Amino acid sequence: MINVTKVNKVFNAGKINQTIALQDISFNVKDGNLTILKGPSGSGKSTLLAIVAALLKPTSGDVEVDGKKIAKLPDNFASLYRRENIGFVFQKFNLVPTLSVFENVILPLIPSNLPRVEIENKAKKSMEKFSIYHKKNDLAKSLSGGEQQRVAIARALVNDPKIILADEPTANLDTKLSTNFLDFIKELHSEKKTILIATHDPIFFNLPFVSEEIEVIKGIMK
Amino acid sequence: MKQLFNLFLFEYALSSLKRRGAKNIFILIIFFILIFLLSCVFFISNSIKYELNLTLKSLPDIVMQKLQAGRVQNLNIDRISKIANIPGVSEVTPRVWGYYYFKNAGVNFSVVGVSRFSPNYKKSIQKIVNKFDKKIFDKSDTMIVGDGVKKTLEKNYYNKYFDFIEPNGGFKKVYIAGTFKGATSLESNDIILLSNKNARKIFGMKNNEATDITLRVPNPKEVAKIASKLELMYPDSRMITKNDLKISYNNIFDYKSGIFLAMFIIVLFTFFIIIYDKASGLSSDEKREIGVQKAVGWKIGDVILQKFYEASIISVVSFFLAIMFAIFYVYILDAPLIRDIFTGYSILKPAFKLPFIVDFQTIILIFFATVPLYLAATIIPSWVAATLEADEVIR
Amino acid sequence: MNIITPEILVILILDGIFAFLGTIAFVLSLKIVFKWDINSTSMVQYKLEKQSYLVATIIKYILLIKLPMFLYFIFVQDKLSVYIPGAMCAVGVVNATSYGYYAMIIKIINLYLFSTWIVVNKVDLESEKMPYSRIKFIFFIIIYFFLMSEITLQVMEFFSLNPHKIVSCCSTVFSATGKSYIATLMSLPHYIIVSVFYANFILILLTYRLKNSIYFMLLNIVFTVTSIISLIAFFGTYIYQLPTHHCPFCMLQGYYHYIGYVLYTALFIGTFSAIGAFVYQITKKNSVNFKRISIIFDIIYLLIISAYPIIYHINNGVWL
Repeated sequence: MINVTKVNKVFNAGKINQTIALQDISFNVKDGNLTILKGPSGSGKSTLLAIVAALLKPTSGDVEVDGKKIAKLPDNFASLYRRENIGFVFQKFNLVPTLSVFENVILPLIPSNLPRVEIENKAKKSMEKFSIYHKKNDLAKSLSGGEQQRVAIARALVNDPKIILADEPTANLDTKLSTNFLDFIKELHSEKKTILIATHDPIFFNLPFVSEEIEVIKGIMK
Repeated sequence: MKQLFNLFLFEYALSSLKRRGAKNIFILIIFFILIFLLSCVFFISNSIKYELNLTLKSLPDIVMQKLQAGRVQNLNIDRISKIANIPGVSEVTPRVWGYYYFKNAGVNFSVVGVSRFSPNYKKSIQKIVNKFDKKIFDKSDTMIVGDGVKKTLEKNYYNKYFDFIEPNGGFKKVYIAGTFKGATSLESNDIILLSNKNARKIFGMKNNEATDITLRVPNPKEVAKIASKLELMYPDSRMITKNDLKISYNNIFDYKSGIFLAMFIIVLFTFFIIIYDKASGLSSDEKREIGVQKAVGWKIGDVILQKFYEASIISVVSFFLAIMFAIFYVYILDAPLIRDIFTGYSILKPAFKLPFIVDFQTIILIFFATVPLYLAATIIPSWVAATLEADEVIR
Repeated sequence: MNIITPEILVILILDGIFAFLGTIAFVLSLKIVFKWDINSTSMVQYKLEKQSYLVATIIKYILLIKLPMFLYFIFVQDKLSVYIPGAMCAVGVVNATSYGYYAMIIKIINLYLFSTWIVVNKVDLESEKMPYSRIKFIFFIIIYFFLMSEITLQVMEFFSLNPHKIVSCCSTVFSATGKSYIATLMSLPHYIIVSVFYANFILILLTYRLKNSIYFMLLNIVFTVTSIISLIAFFGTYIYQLPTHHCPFCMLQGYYHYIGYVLYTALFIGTFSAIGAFVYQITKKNSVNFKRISIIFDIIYLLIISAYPIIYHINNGVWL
């Protein structure tokens, strides 16, 4: 359960270049639900995702995830919260191009300091699930778009998080890859993951399994 | 279960270094060169120090000088028998020596009196004396000169003899009975050996006077005691022990490497500005990578630790490579070029192999002079990188 | 004339770096102490939270270098004894100037302070509210003054070393016939000193099981003192195999297999972990690990130090 209550975010408060990114945003996402945050680019969707992921702190307001207030967590706990609860799929995947598939996938596990076998098992499971295991030693930059997409999702899910956050996941993708991504989302939805996608790609609009569509324009919920 | 040491993080740091190879190899090479230079200087100075200490061993254990108004005066040789009676003293030798200024050539010669009966204080001189018939020195008017001295004399038309000017204005004609080639060019160009009697005459000393007295004390632990005893017996005199000389020589060399170290540190600081600059100028790729790391759950501390591992790897690898190369360069190749830093070196002994003296304390010293400085230079850039706004990458 | 050896120069340079980084950390700490508000979401607080990591990193760096540096420092003092007439080991050098003794003591105190800070920091970061943030930065502000006095004393010591002044060597400083307060302690009968040492250890063992670790910590601090006194007065003579040789430093020399470094490191870890256990207890956290480490290193110290007289007795059939 994600509860966002009256979140405001002001960048450069009190300065000449002050910008209000979010204004009084409140919504909630129930466990296992899929919610779409839509709106044109620059409307504050990504900022909102960053706040839900505890990457950014709101200027005011509260974010609760499973009853835990995450808005004011110090870095140590915010990171731990992300590592344990959040799977992040970035715009353009954001793989580290010079690392191998395996190294990209274990990226979230490295600071956990788990035993080697455990890390390797988790990575293997996730890579197999998204059928990328056969390429595990290839460099990310040598992969095709579809393969990169699968690595990105394998990385997001390697920790088996409850919540998936995706930021413009289909921007710059061709139709085929976009449909692929939708299939993955469908699958994750059927696994009862809580999913929040920020996008302006119409492919996500009016889908039968989407629980809610929230529109954000210029930092204000419509 | 948590592991004691995060090997994956370490591997990640290693791969991060490899992935930005060009930049890191550049830093590694510069750091390597700096440590290499420093190590060479320390190794060479250690070797020379070692060699010097060996030379010092052949010197007398105690030299007694008489002082008057803080200046060294000639002393009376009466005291010899009294000194020889001190338990622990095995040999007492009066020395007659000094400098003679040869005006025409504008040079100073060392005039050293030798005696047929008593052994000489310096092994190299004893060797020369042994080579010649000892009777030469007893004949009243002969001397043996270094071949460099001989050349200087010939240039001034003194081919067979030389006229020393005595302090009272009279001339003392001394014939050249032979030449020798000194162990060092300094010796050859400088030394004139003649009998004690003649030396006294040239310096205007009385027959019962000597420049100083040397003592041999077989048990090194007794040296200090005997020296203080002598100081009590002869309050007008100063005792210089071999150990005193050793300390001042060591001081000179520590001083020399200290000055080098000081200059080196200035260079090192310049280097750190480069490091600081390199480390803080993050490329957009690096920024994105750190953003991804933090977005997937890396703590600020994890990123700082990764950067710390990177800095440690670079500095420790450079350190060990540099030490190994320096050992090779100094002890196998005999340190061409760099050993000229020690200008006294060529005079000291022109042709000799640097003895192999690598000790842990030198290596530890070099470690502390370099690696912590490098790490210090990376602290702030690492922190800046680790606290980058992660949300920027996901926008 | 001053003695400037490369070793001294290196120590001075590192001191300079510590002073520089320490001052940065000090200024940031002041800012944090005055402006810290964990509940605020202002940019200021956000920036302060980031800066607190820089302070922590600097302190960790200083400790990381300081620990091995301390051993190196003793080693350098030992080496300098060559230059100081009368000095046979570090004791002579420490006593050669009026600062040496204080520099040494404040150095040891600082090692404990820095290590304790790191434990406080760890405890603080383990809690979501960071409840000890202000305290830990106030703590650092205090430490900063200790650090700066250490550096000042250090510099003054090195610049006032005089190679022409004759000093006493360790056997005079620590002999029972002397007039110093150390000498007074040394004149106590050995069986008292040794019994106090072992009794202290037994008390530590007894308090190990207690929930409240304050006694455990206090006894450990006392243990460090009784250990050093008994080392100088009694155990040391077995290390040197010479009944008149009372010195805490000579055992650091290669001739005695550098055993001093092992002993002092064990003692340091023992006491420090006891302090760590106490810090954890104040914050009502589990401190089993620290206590265990502490007791293990206390035992290591005890075993090594006890082995010397026992082995001597077995080999020679007599006590010194």
